[in-house]
Amino acid sequence: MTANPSRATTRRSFLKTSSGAGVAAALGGGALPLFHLRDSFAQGAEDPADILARINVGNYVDPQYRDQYSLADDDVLWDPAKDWIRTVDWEKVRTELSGTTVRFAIGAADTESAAAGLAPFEALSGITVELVPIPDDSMYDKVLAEFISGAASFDALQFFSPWLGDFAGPGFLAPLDDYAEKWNLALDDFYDTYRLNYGYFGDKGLYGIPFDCDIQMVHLRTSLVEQVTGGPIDKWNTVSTYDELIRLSGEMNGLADGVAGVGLMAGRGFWSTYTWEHVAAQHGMDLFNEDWEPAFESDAGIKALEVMLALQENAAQGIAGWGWPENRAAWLGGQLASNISWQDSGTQGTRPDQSNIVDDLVTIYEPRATLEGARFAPPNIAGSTSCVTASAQNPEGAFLMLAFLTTSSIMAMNEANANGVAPGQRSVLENEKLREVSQPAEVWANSLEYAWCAPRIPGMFEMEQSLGNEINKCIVGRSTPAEALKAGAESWRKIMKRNGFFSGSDPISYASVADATWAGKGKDLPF
Amino acid sequence: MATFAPASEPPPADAGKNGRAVRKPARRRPAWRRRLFPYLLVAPAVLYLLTITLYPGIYAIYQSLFFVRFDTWTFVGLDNYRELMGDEEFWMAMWNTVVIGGWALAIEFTIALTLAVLAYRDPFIRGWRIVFLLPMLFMPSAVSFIWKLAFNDGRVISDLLMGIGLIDGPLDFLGNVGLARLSLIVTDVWQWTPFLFIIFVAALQGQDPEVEEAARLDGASWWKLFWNISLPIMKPIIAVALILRAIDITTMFTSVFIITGGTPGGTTETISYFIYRIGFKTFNFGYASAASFVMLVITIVVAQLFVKRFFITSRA
Repeated sequence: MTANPSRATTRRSFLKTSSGAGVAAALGGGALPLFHLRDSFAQGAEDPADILARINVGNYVDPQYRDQYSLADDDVLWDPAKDWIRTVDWEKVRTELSGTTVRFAIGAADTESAAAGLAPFEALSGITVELVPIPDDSMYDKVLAEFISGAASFDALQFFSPWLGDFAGPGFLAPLDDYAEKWNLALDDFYDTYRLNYGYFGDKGLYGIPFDCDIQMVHLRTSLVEQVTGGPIDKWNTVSTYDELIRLSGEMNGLADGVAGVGLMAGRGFWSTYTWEHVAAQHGMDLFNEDWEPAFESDAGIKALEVMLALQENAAQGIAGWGWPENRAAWLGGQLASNISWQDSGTQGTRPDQSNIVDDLVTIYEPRATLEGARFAPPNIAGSTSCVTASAQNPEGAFLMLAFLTTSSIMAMNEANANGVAPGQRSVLENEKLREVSQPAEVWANSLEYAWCAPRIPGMFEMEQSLGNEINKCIVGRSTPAEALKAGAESWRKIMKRNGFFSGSDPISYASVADATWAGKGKDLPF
Repeated sequence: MATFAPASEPPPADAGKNGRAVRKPARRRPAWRRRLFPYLLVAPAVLYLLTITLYPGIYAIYQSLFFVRFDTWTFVGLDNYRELMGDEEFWMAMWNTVVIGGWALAIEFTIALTLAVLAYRDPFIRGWRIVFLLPMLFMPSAVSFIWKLAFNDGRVISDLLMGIGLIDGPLDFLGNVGLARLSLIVTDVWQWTPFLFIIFVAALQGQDPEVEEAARLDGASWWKLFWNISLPIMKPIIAVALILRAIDITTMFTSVFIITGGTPGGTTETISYFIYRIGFKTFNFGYASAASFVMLVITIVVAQLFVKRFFITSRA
């Protein structure tokens, strides 16, 4: 300790000089390079093979579901050759990154389950994960506020994939191409519609790893449909068109006590938008033309709204206020004879602890539209993606954590658990064992080759809300379909202008997203 | 033997004729300091209050002159206000607030006054006063969730009405404008009638019993007592209670957020929900601030007119 010669040693001067001496000792006398510290950790860590061996059906899938589907502990619902966690070099990960920390922003409701799910990752990698809970219903604005501050309190996050443009456009996300190449992420195992729309921001590169891979589908109550049709359900042909769905839902409406003909989400905001996009995509609707001008005030868009209005006649009360929670509760509670919703309605409906309609449901192929220009375009709507922030303190560690969470084995077991987090990998959805535990999987997988998806452009969050408000007005009779879509298009132009469109230099080129919008373009129809 | 007395110390400089120290004349504080002193004492509390009320208000007014999107501020002058004046959704939200709030207030006033008079007069009902107050003690969000279940998700109301044969099928509380508004009115009335009730009961109990006694001796019925004596005396208190409740109703948000979300088609979107939606769903903070300021001005003007009329009338 050096004393200040000009005055007596004070407590402050003692602390200053002794801490300085301590740092000097650590750096000079100790002088252990960080990789030696990591190496020593790696040497003391458990063998990755042992940790990976425990990531199996026996440890991950709910015992109730293992019994229900007679799953053995070592059943494989995925392709091990495509399962990233079993192909990556964990020793290399440990050598390079153990001892570091990753901060992961997650919806508050998922914090506990995420913590448990990440324990193996921490053991495999030596990376510590800190969870940053964010309230689910204010995720967008909270996350955006953090991004704008320039020093987000998290390195990685997972969010609704339509927001990819909102965050990637202004440069809030880190490009992942280099990491994907370095660590051999199995991107080609994802269906094109997920890989291109949840992962890439146009031609600007890879910004996300698909997380919750969604598709909206049509689900039917087997007993009620067979009662009306008089025979078993053909997934392609029993409800071959939307006109058929309208007719059938009318006949099933009230057939059983407390059961409405159809359920759909028509609440204000993006719920209405999603349902309309679902139907409109089949009718041949395109959201934009090549100049990014809203193009949905077309016959297809208007017809889709008319279909929704017709379905509403046979729908459950209150759909004008329904979002996913209300729709899901009504379907699983047995209050609907048919339902237009996400694929997890078809999976969760088969689980006795979640549903009152076990063994009485089937998911069918997308009904077609009879309008000229109609197409087979099952709607890839919403879903979520996982990204690394541009200001991440540990971007590579964050990438590895996300690659772990989205690996095919864990996603397959998520599907087996019917927890709503859905796989987007071919090797999973085409797995025969997985199809035994996931009722909609076959139809879902076959549909994805033709899927339609809205482009991920800046401002999409706001645009989905504004259009949904107009659609909701039409649903409750306060405007006509044409008026609603006209007002929606006007609001979209305003929002897009604010986000840099129509000023000579669009944030993203139309050509770079055109192919991703409809995966079925140019393909032979499957029927 | 001579004693030598110690030489006495010289007297202090300020000593008077008799050698004692003279007290300096007290300096009177200047008048301005005397006037200032009480203000200094209350200054910390006032500063705190101004910081948490006036500062955000001034900040919002300033913000309303800009297009604000997080950290991007673009000066637009009065454009936000011009746009607001032509915004159909803004005026719809104002109208919704007037309709829903007006009906809620009218019903709350009627029920609260009736219950207060009964509680004041009838010893049996008086014993249930604490029960009447209970709804006010619950969290507004919890109350809204319960009513949401009753009206929509659980269809309790519909099932009850169907069970007693009043209706044939379930009511669409979210698809029908009248029913959606009714659900909000019922929720508000259920929770906030006790607020008026407690004020009215206090007002009645604060009356001079001799006035009432005299009127009773003259043969006045209870209705005449109430109409000619109690009600006129209560007028200023009723005015204050209604103003307080009306101001509260203009901030109606929780029930709208939880039960209807503004549906059907924006017909239950109150002004508070509109401001929330513009601010937190479209992130147009300047526009939301302009709407807040316009609402503030309208509230102040209406409240002032109401108080002036009511208090002048009652004094006259």
